[in-house]
Amino acid sequence: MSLIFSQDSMAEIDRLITHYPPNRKKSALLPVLHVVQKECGWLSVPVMDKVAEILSIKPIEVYEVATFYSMYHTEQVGKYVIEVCHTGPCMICGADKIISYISDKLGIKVGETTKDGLFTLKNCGVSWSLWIRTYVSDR
Amino acid sequence: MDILNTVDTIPLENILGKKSPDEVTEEVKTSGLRGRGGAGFPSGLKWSFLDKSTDKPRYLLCNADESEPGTFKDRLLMEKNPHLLIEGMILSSYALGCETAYIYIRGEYMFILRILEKAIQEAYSKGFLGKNIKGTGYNLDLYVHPGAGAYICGEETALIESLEGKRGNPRIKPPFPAVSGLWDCPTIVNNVETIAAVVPILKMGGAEYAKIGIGRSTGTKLISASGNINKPGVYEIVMGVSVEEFIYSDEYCGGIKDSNDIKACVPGGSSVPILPKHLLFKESTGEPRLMTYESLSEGGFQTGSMLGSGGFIVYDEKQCIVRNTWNFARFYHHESCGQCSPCREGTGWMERVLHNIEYGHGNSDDIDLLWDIQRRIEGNTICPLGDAAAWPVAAAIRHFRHEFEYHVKYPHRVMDADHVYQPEMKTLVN
Ligand SMILES: Cc1cc2nc3c(=O)[nH]c(=O)nc-3n(C[C@H](O)[C@H](O)[C@H](O)COP(=O)(O)O)c2cc1C
Ligand code: SF4
Repeated sequence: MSLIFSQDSMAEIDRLITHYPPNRKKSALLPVLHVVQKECGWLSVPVMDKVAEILSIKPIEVYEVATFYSMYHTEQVGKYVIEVCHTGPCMICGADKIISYISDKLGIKVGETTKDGLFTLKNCGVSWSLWIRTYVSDR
Repeated sequence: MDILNTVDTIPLENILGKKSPDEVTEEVKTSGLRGRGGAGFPSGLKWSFLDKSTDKPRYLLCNADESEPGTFKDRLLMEKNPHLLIEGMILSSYALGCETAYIYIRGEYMFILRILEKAIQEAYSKGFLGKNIKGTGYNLDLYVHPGAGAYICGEETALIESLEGKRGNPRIKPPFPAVSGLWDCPTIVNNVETIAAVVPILKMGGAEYAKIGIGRSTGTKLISASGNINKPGVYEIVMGVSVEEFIYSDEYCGGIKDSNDIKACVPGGSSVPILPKHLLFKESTGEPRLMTYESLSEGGFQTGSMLGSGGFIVYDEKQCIVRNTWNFARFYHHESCGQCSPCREGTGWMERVLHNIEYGHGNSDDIDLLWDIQRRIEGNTICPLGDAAAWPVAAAIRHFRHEFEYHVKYPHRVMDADHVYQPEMKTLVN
């Protein structure tokens, strides 16, 4: 199966690769995964394989990175991912109440996606004081 | 100084080419500047460790990973004053003899990455970056590299691995990055605020900068203030302000919310020991405790804590220390990279035991068990994340053992539905 990223994504990927020495293309992996995740919504195996091909590395080198970092989705997620920080400083200011409010409104638990595929609710993997993060994957 | 807003910086031509790189490093040494990323290591000294004996390229990496719970100062500096960071990167790279430098920014700060890239573009178009900067013959390329949601990538060798396109697994040291870092080349990693401070240092001269602050805590420090205070936010303080003034003055935190009493404070980000009220405002000698590296750590971990990254979290009397400790333990468990067994297993074990105590399933042996686990993690791991996970647990038990005992003894009485203390708890706490 031959998968093609959009021209915009490819132009951005080409620009990112120039940030590193020519024999260190692999260094562009994290920024490139952000670009393709934005286009595709999540990182499926064909997407990761294509990235490996572009950066001339082995697919496993992409899989191990994609599964290590919490911002990469290796499973399908909703169009909007709502992440609420619940570490100490946010917890004492009521983060748990915010999470249960959103959870009730959307009728999903943390980690789940609404049936219409619009929203996924997550706990912010790493902290962010007093912050709700929504980032959009415009598919 | 006003590092969040200053725009009047120095003409780079006055430094590049006029002062030698070693002279710039000397100014930074003279200034007494210490790393603002957490460890407080003298920055000029760190720079002097950079291996200049090889002909390999050298790299400067700016650590903008900022993921420590309670710390959000670098974010504000980069959002409000990106050019200060860029100018600091140029001056620091010049001192170190680097022709390529990277800013490693946490992936969640993608919108700040865009701000930085725009500012870098402006700097290129005005001739402050690129080839032959301002006709001085010095070349520098500066790039921003995003992470993707991993606290561990703030650790300098994990950051390097991540920049190389790998998982953020810290490296065993030695070799230190100053000898073998990014792509096995000599590398210096510095925090955003450290690098930004190089600009005022060169502007006023290291000796003048050293006059700001107290003793070995020179200069100003950004403090991220959060928790149950009236005015959470980022404040730039001259080092030496007293903790009491910082919390109660209207210039800073503006006192405790709803006029509650204060119970405790974590002064330097989630990794540093929590201080109970009776140790917070006074050192063990009775002197007022100040916002400096030395004063906050006075008495070691028995009675002190650390300035750390300046993540200042304030807890009022209604907060539950057990719950907070469990919360932090959950964070470290989630963020452990899993390379060392004491950290990988220990953080998970602590989280489970703390969860049990917090939710009323603990027993009296659990408190000693927790103490034992944290002791076996500390000092037995590749990177300091293990210590960072152990210290908050140790400090909570050391200073608030009675709250743990209360949880074990009266499991059903501890919390109401909103996880707020029942009033009877207060009598036990005091
Ligand atoms: C688990 C862990 C996380 C860290 N996170 C950060 C961070 O987010 N930002 C930072 O500047 N330093 C962080 N550090 C400290 C860095 O390893 C390093 O000491 C620092 O960037 C050096 O810069 P400085 O000397 O300018 O402070 C972290 C250290 C550890 C062990
Ligand atoms: S201490 Fe923890 S985070 Fe650090 S290398 Fe070991 S397992 Fe990884």
